[in-house]
Amino acid sequence: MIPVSIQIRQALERVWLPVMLLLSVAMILLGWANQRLTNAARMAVADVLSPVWAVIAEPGEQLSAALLELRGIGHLAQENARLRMENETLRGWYDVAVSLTEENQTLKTNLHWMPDPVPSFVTGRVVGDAGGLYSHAVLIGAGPQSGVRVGNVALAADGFVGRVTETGGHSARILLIDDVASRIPVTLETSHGTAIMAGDNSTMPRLMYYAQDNHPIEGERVVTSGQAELLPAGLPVGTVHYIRASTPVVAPYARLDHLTILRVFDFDSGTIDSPDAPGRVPVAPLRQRGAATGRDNPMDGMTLGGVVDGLSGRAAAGAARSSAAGPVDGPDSENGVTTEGPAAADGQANGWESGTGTEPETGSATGAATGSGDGDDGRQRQNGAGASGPAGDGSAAPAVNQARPGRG
Amino acid sequence: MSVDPYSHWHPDQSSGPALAQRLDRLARRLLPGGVTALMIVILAAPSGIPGATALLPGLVMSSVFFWSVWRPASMSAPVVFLIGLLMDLIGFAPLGVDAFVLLLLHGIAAHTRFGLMGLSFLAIWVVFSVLAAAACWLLWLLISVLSLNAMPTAPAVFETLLAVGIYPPMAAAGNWLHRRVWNPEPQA
Repeated sequence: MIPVSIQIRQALERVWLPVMLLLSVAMILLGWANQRLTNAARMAVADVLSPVWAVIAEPGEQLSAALLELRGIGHLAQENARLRMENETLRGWYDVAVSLTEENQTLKTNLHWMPDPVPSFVTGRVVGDAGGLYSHAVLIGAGPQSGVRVGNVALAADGFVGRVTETGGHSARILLIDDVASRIPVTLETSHGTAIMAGDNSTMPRLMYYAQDNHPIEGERVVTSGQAELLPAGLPVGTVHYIRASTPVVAPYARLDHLTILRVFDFDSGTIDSPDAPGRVPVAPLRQRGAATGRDNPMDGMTLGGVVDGLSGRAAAGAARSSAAGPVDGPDSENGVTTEGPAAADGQANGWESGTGTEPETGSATGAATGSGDGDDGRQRQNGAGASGPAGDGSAAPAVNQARPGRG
Repeated sequence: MSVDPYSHWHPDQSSGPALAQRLDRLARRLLPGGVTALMIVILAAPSGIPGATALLPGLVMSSVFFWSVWRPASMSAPVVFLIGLLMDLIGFAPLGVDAFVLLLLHGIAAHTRFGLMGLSFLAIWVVFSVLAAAACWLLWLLISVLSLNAMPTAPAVFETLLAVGIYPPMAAAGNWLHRRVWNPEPQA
């Protein structure tokens, strides 16, 4: 302690409280204004403390496991009888499951079912309660270093638990489904309705926004819905329960207040891009032959179907155009061939055949395009093939039509 | 180095307390705050204690109140601020809210301490209960306002009851610590 006079010390003591009060008000305002900074600070603290918590939790878990075992010893015979009965039931269910799996497999093969992408997951231990009194969240001891990212889905052994909202260095915070801020789109399996499951800090989240002519049925299964592209469809959440008339809630499968180990799945649902609606894409006007203006417009030369690959194919097209430098209208026909819906692959393959086989001027166009140094060989070829159309300045559809007969 | 053996002048000898004494005093000063911070960290771990999150504010409030009345030097305003900030950071409550409420509690307790010290334990308990209830509801109000969402009131009621209930054992433990650490019994 620094030796100071009594007067100064007294003055300091009188000043400390107002200063600290002001500082805390400033912290409130700062935390309110800059959420990112406060979240970073929180996750830094959590990163530091998560190993400590993991150490503290270890003996507690061992103790509770030992207690459970002790309790089990008392009811061994009873437990044994119960398990034997359950085993018999489960054996029956096992046969059902095997036959259903096989049937499902057969049906999927017959239908050419697109297999769902296999999600990657990491398993982490719950190291802390990151919720406080007015929110429900947990901290797990796995972070971005192990592949956990914001938006990932956390599942306990028996059901959906929540989503990752913040990540630190080697820890991540998971907002549970019973938090006030949690809104999860769900599907009700028996009534086939959809609803929003909203947390309210009680152990059972409410169901909201279900159709008024299709009420949830007591006891039906609730699974996640893939609608908002936040979550994959079909993750088990819980069962519907009416606590009062017309107040349906979800009784979650997962024990949200006793979470120990969580699996965090990366479903990567963000990569599924929906196709652009045709009506919303501006239709490019028919371009004049040899018009070199308007190259800067990214939507230039795009037709209804040619939006998806149009941007990526534009560089090659531009190169071909500049080197071929003729009346050949590269971009339009190229776009048409590449992306005319499901025919795109056909167009690529056939275009090459027709181009080499019939048209005399193709050779030069292809050569020029390949020589321009762009790496994508297939695109260059098909570009040349597209360019070999009779008129060259037609819109996309004729180019495709031109390419198609070449197959025969 | 030649020291005049007949001189009584010892320039190296300081008149203040020795280093060990200073460290001892510092440790005593930091003990209440340190113990409170430790409680916050331990209660945030998944210990399986039922209602640990609701217990924490009451525990911290009673600790801050007790030490602010009996040892305001050990529970000074900066220490209270740091404790509140730690609670906010760990608990993901709006930042600074706990610090603000705890500082108010500390201010009231420290300003009325001479009146409170003369009262019986029951009277102090009643005063603390009133203050803790006010603090819990102020917390509820601040969090509701800052998150633009009326928070459920049940946790606030529960929190208040736990705060009132936890004060006697906390005060007993604090009393014991207060006597042992600040007035160590003379070694026989």
